[in-house]
Amino acid sequence: MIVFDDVYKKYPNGTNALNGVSFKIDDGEFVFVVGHSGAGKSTIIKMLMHEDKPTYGEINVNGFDINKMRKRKIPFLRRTMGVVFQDFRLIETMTVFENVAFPLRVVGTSRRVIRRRVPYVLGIVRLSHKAKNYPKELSGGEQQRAALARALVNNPRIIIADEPTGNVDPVMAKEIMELLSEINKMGTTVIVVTHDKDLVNTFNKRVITLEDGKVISDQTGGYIIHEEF
Amino acid sequence: MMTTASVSVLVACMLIIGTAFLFAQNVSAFMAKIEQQNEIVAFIDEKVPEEEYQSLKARIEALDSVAEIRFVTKDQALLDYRAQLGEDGAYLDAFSGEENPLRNSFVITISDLDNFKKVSETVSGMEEIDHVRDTQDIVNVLLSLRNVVQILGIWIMIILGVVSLFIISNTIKIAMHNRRHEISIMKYIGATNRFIRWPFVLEGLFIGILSAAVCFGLQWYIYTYVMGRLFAALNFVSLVPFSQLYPGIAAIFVGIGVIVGGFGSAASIRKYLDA
Ligand SMILES: Nc1ncnc2c1ncn2[C@@H]1O[C@H](COP(=O)(O)OP(=O)(O)O)[C@@H](O)[C@H]1O
Ligand SMILES: [Mg+2]
Repeated sequence: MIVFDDVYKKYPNGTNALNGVSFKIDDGEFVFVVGHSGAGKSTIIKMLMHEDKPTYGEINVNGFDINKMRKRKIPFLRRTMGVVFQDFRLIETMTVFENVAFPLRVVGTSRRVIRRRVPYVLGIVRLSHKAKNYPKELSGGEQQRAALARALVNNPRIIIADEPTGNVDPVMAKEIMELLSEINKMGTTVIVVTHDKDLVNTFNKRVITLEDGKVISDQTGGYIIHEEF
Repeated sequence: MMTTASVSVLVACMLIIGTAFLFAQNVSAFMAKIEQQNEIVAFIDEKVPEEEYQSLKARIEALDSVAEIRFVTKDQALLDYRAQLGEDGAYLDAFSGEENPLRNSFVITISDLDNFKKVSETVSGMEEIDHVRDTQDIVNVLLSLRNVVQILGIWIMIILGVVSLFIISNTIKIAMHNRRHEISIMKYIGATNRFIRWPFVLEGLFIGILSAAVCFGLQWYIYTYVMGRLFAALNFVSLVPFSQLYPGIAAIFVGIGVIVGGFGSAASIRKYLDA
C-alpha cells in the first residue's frame, strides 16, 4: 500500500516539484500516473524509493514510513518494489541473465533457484534467446523487457514502470501493457507512469493526473484534461 | 591494469620497509656483538692490599648493567701485551717480575651500552681505582648510530605505510568511480552497502596480499643473494641469515597487505557509498 499525504518537494535549486500531493494506492490496484513533462511524475517515484526525502508531508510505502525510516533500511524498502526505469538502468557489464539474476543475488537466493527462476521470468517477457547477450546488444524494446524481467524476478508487491512505452513501437507497447496487466491480475500492484494519452484511454483503469506538482484529477477510466501531453 | 600498477607501487613500498627492517635487525645484531666487546679496564691502585680485591670486585659487580668482571694480574697483562706484539715483544721480558710497570686490573663488560658511561664514571670515582681505560668514544658512535637507525626505520615505516594506504585507497576509488553507474543501479535494486562493498574490499585485500607475497620473494632473493654476496665479498660482518628473520618480515608484509588492503579499500568505499 502507498499513501501520500500532502507531500511537498522543493529541490535545492528552488524548483517546487510537488505541491501538496495526496493519494492512496491499495494493494492489487492498477494505476496510471499521467502528466506533462515536468509535472512531478518522476519525483513521485524518487520519493517512493527514498532516493530523496519530501520537504513536507507523510509518505508510507508497504509499511515503511519514508520520513522516519533509518537509512540502512532503504535497501529493504526497495526490495518490496520492482521499478522499470525510464532509462532501464541495466548493468552494462552483465549479461541479461546476470542482470535479471541480480536482485535475487542481493537477497541471497541460491544458485539452484536462480537457475530456475531467471529463465522462467525471461520466458514471461519473451527474452529467453537473449539471455547471454549484453544490454548494448539489445534493441530498446528488448532492454525494456529485460528491465521488466529484473523488476519482476523477486515477486515484489509493487511494480512501477516509468514511461514503459516511451521507447518502443506500438505493437511492443501493447504487448508490454498486456504483460503488466497480467502481472496485476496475479495480485501485484502496478503503477504505470506515462504521458501517452492513447495508451491510458485503451485501458479502463484508475488515472491520477498531475499538473505542476498537484493532483488535478483522480478517477477511473481515461483521463479528463484535453490538453496534449 | 590498475591492479598491476598498484601492486608494483605497493611492492616497492614494502621492499623499502622490509629493507629498513632487515637493516635495523642487522644493526642491532651487530650492536649486540659489539656491546659484548666493549670493556672498561679499571686499574687498581698499588696501595690497595690484595686482601681487599675480593670485596672491591663484589662492589663493582653489584653495579647496574655489569655483565661480567674479570681480574687480570699485572703479570698476565704483560704476557697478553707481549703476545700482541709477537716477535717484537721480546724486549718486554726486561720488565717482568718486580720490574713490571703495569697494574693489576679488573676487566668489566657491560650488558647495556646506555649505562656504559655511568659505570665507567662510578668505577673511576672509586678510591681504590687509579684510573680506567674505556672505549667511550666508540660507544657513543654506536649509540647514536643505533638511535638514528631506529628513528629512521620508524619514519620510513610510517611514511611508506601512509603512501601504501593512499595507493590502495586510490586504486579502489578509481575502481569504484569506473563502476559508479553500476553501484548506483545496485542500490536502486535494493543491494545493501555491505553487499556492494565486499567485492571491493576483497579486491583491496587481494592487492595487499599479492603484493606481500611478491615482495617476500623479492626480499628473500635480494637479501640472500645480492646483499649476502656483497657482505661476503666485503668480508666485514656476516649478515643475520634470512631464515632467522623471515617470520618478522612475513608478518610485516602480510600485516601491511591486510591492513592497508582491507582498511584502505573499506575507508574509500565508505566515503563513496555515503556520498
Ligand atoms: N534533481 C532535481 N533538481 C532540481 N530540479 C529537479 C530535479 N529533478 C526534477 N526537477 C524539476 O522538478 C520538476 C518535476 O520533475 P519530474 O518529477 O522529473 O517531472 P516528470 O517526471 O513529470 O517529467 C521539473 O520542473 C524538474 O525540472
Ligand atoms: Mg519523468
